[in-house]
Amino acid sequence: MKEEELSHENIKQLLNRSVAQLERPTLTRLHHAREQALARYDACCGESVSARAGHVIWHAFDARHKSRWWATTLLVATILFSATVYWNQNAKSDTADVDIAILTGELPIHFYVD
Amino acid sequence: MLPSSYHSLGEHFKLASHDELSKFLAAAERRAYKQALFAMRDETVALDIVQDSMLKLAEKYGSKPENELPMLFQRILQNTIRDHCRRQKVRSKWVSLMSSLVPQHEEADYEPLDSLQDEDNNSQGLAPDASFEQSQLIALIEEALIILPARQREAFLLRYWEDMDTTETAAIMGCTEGSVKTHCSRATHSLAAILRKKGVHLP
Repeated sequence: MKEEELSHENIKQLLNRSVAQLERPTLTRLHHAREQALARYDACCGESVSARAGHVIWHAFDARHKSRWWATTLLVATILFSATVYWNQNAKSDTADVDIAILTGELPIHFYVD
Repeated sequence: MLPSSYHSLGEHFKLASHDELSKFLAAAERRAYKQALFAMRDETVALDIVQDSMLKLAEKYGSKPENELPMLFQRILQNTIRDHCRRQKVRSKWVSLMSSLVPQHEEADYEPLDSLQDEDNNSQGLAPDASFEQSQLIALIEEALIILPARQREAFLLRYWEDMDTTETAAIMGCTEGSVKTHCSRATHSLAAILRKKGVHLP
């Protein structure tokens, strides 16, 4: 087992040496390829700022934070529900006030004008 | 799909910057070229493959977290190599169909190990013995890698040259970890057999 690992390590070292001995035209072509790729990256970078933001937000709620995701969803749902109930009660009390005012004859003048 | 073990919490948000992408490509481009060369046996095609892979990475995945770049690049590279192989296969079918009346070259007789001398290396004669032996050994290993079946070579290089673990290699190759182990084992045995025939015994 030890011998096999050594063999792989030797092959790796030899391949790395081979890579270090690449010829100049090949290296120049690789350099140009890299430059083109980076230019493409820069061109795409401006467009993808919003995509990056989305990426960050998405990853904030990835598989490891599913509980946090559910907690946030639950919180938002609770706030929406509470707001709806409060608004409904307000509307009800508004009409109750008007009813009482009509019965007691103390309706403000602008109700008749309208 | 990347294995979940590959992500580490907190590193998710380190998205690759221009400099980081540049540094990564500079470190990976030579090995990528060699991998493509082993697969295609053509320098120009190998350079085209590396360029295509770099462009795809920069365009589609350049904004991914830095720690995901090696796997993404390898996956793109291997897919691009496979695409080129497929296209070459289709092209050669058509060529052989069209030139069926013309006598063909005996490609089946091609034996890469017959041409072990590095003819383009002008410094060979002047180099010391040790260096000469080493360049011969490198040539032997490279020729042996070229002979290996594509999947075995892919698995071997990813595992032992790119230092990917079995899970990462399986994700890049689109197969199971068991298949990766089988490919690696077969590749190691084949390489040992080929090198033994040439009188090379690795320690």
